[in-house]
Amino acid sequence: MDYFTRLGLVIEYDLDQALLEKKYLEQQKKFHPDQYLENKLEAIKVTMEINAAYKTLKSDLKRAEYILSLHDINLEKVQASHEFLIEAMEDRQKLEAPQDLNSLLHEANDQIDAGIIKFKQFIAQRDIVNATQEVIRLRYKKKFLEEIEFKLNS
Amino acid sequence: MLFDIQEPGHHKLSSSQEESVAIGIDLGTTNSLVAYSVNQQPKIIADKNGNNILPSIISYFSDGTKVIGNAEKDAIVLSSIKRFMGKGIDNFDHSSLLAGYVKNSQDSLVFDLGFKTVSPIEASAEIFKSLKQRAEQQLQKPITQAVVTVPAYFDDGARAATKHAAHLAGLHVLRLINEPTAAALAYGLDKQAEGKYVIYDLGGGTFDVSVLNMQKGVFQVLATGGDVNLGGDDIDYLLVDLFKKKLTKNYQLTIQDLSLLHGYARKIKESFSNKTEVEVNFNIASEAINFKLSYQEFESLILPTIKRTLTIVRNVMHDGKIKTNQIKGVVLVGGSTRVKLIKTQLDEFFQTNCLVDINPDEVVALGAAIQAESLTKGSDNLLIDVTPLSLGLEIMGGLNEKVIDRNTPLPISVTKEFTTYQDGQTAMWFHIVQGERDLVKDCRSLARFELRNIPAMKAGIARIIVNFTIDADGMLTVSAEEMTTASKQIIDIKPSYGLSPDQIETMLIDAMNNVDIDVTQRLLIESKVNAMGIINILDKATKEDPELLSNAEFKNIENQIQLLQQYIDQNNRDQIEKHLQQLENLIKDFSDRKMNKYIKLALRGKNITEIDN
Repeated sequence: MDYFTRLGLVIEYDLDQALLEKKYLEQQKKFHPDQYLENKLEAIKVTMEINAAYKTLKSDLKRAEYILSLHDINLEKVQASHEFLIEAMEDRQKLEAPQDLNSLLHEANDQIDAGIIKFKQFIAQRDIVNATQEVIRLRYKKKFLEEIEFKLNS
Repeated sequence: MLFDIQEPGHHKLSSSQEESVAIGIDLGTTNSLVAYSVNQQPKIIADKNGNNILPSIISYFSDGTKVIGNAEKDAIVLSSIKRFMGKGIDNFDHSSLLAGYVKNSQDSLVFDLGFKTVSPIEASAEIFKSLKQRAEQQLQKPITQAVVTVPAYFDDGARAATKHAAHLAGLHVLRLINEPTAAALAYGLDKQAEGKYVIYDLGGGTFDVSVLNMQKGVFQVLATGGDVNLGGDDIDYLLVDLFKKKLTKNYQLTIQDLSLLHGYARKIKESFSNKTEVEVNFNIASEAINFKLSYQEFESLILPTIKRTLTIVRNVMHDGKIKTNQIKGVVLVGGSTRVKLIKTQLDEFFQTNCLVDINPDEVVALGAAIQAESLTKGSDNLLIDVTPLSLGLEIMGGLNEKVIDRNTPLPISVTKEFTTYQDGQTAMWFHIVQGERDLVKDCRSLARFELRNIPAMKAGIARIIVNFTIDADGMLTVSAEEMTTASKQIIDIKPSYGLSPDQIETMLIDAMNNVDIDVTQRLLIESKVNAMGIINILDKATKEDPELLSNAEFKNIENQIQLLQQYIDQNNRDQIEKHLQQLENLIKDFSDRKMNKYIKLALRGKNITEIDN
C-alpha cells in the first residue's frame, strides 16, 4: 500500500499539514499496538508503516522524493545535470569563504522554497525528468542549509 | 541472547490476568521512586517510614552486607550510578565522584570496591530490587512487571543496561518510556491539558527537553533533545570547585572528602530557593573552611549551565518547527528545576509561566505508573514517542548515511538497499552509528557486523537490503540480507562496551543464587530459558530447511511459537511447560525429516557439519 493511501490521503504532492496530522492521529488510534492485546504483530507492522508514511509525507523534500519513487525513479541512479554541479561548486566556495552566514542561510532558504514551486510545476506538467533534477538539487540544498546552520551554531 | 526478548511485539502482556500488577519506576541519578496506578489515579508508594523518595545510593560493607538509599559510615558508597549506565571503559565521565573506583574488567566498566567489584548494572539492580520490595510490601502482592523511565536522550546501550538491571531484580520491563513523556502523561491527564507543551526535565545527571502535542488522550512527542551529561550534579561540581579554591594547599582529596564536599554543595544549592546569602563552616583535609556565597554570585556561577540547557531547548523547537508563541505551557520536571534562575529564564524565553503544579520529583514516576496500568489493563490514552538520535550506517569515506532520522515516531522500520563495490566481493561490513554528524568519527559507534556468503558477482549487481527496526522501547534491531541468495543476518544491537552476553549470564546466575529470588522464581527462569532456547534453535532450523515443511506445518509451528512466547512474556510457568511439550510434538516429524536429509547427504559423501554450517 502506498503511503498516501495508508494515511487515507489522495496521491498528490500538495498536502495540507493540518490534514496530514489529523489523518495520522486517526490511523494511530485505529492501529497502535498498545491498544491491541491480540494480533499484536500485525498491529505493529501497520503502525510502522503509518509512522514511515507520516515521517515521509510530512517533509516537503521527502514527499517529493516519494512522489518520484511512485514514478519508478531511483534517485541514486540518476546523473545530476552539469548546471547543478557548477552551482554546487559555487555554493561550496561561498561556504568556505563566507562574508555573511546569515544572508547565505536566507539565500538557501529562498532557493529551497523556489525549488519546491518548480517541482510542483514540473509534476503538474508530467515532466518527470526535470522534476527529478529539481529534487536532486533540493536534496543538496537541504544538506547545504544544514551545513550553514551547523557553522552558525558552532 | 536468551534473556533479552527484544523482538518488537513479543514483549507485551495480556490483560487477561486480573491479578497482574504493574508498577512504574523512575530510576533517577539522585533519587528513585516507585508508583502504582488504579483507574488512572497514580500514587507514589512510600517506604515504611513514609518516605516517597529512595536516594539512588548504595552503601557496600566489606562483610558483604549492603544498605540501599543511605550513605553509611564505614561503607563504600556508590551514588549517581546512572551516569555510568551503558558506558564503556573508554567513554565514562571522569569528573564523576565514582571515577576513582572505575576498573576495566574484560573490557567492561566495573567499580572496584576493594573487597568486591560491582558493575553499574548490578548496582542499579539493587535499587530496582529495593523499590520492588517496597511495592510488594505496600500492595501485598508479588510484583514482576514494571514500566521504567529513562532519559529521552539515553542511547541504545544505556537503554539496554537499564533493562538488564530491572531484569536482574526480577522485573519484566513492559516498556521503557522517556522521562519527559512520562511527565507529560501524568500532567496531561491530571490537568486536562490540550495543545503544545514543553517538558523541561533537569534531573540530577541528565537533561531532557521534549515538545508534546496533547490532544484528546493522544500524547504525541513532536521533538526531543537533551544531554546525558548535564544535570543538577553539574551545579554541585561548580560549587565543589569553589570549595577547593578555598584550600591553601593542593591536597589529594579522598573520595570520602569529596562526598562530604558534594553534600555541602547540595545543601547550599537547595538553601538558595529561599535565602539570599548562605554561609557554611566545615573541616576538610585538616583545614577549617568558612564559605560564604550571595545569591547573585550563585546565579552568575550557574548561568552558563542554564544557558546550555536553553540552547538545547532552542534547537529542539527549531527541529520540530515550533514557534515559542505556539507553546501553551512549560512543565518543569526534576528536583533541579527548583533552582529559581531556571524558572525566570524559561518564563522570559517562552513568555509564559512555567507549570509546577505536580511535584517535580514525583511526576515522572506517576506517569510511568499510568502507562503501566494502560499497558496491563488497557486505556484510551495513546502515547506516541520518537527516537531522539539519528541512526545510520558508515559508508565509503567514513561518512554517516542516516537510515532513521531523529524525531521519527516509534515503532519504525526502514529499509535501505546497498550494493557491492568490487567485482567478486563476497562479504560486506556494516558499522552502525548513532548521532547527527556527517562524519562517523563524530558519532557514537553502536555495533559492527559482517554479511558473508554474498555470491561473487560483478560490482554493483548484488542487492543487499539492510533493515533498521526500532521498537516501542527505543531499542534497535538491524538485519542485512543479500536478495539473490537470501543469506541473512540479524543483529540485536548490544552495547559493545557494556557487558558481554557471558557476563550477563553469569550475573543472572548470581541473581538466581541470591536468596531474594525464591524457588518458584528460579523454576520459572529455568523454564523460560529452556523454552527460549528451543525457539531459537527451531527458528534457525526452519530457516535452513524450509523445504522440509509444508505451508500448513510451518504455520502451525509458528502459531505455537507465538503462543509459547506469549506465556514466556507473561511469566506463566505452567503454560510454558504445557505449550513447550505441544511444540515438541508438533516438530517431531520435521526433525525426523531433517535427520533423514542429513543421513542421505552423508551417504553421498558430504560432511554433515559442513552442511549444517
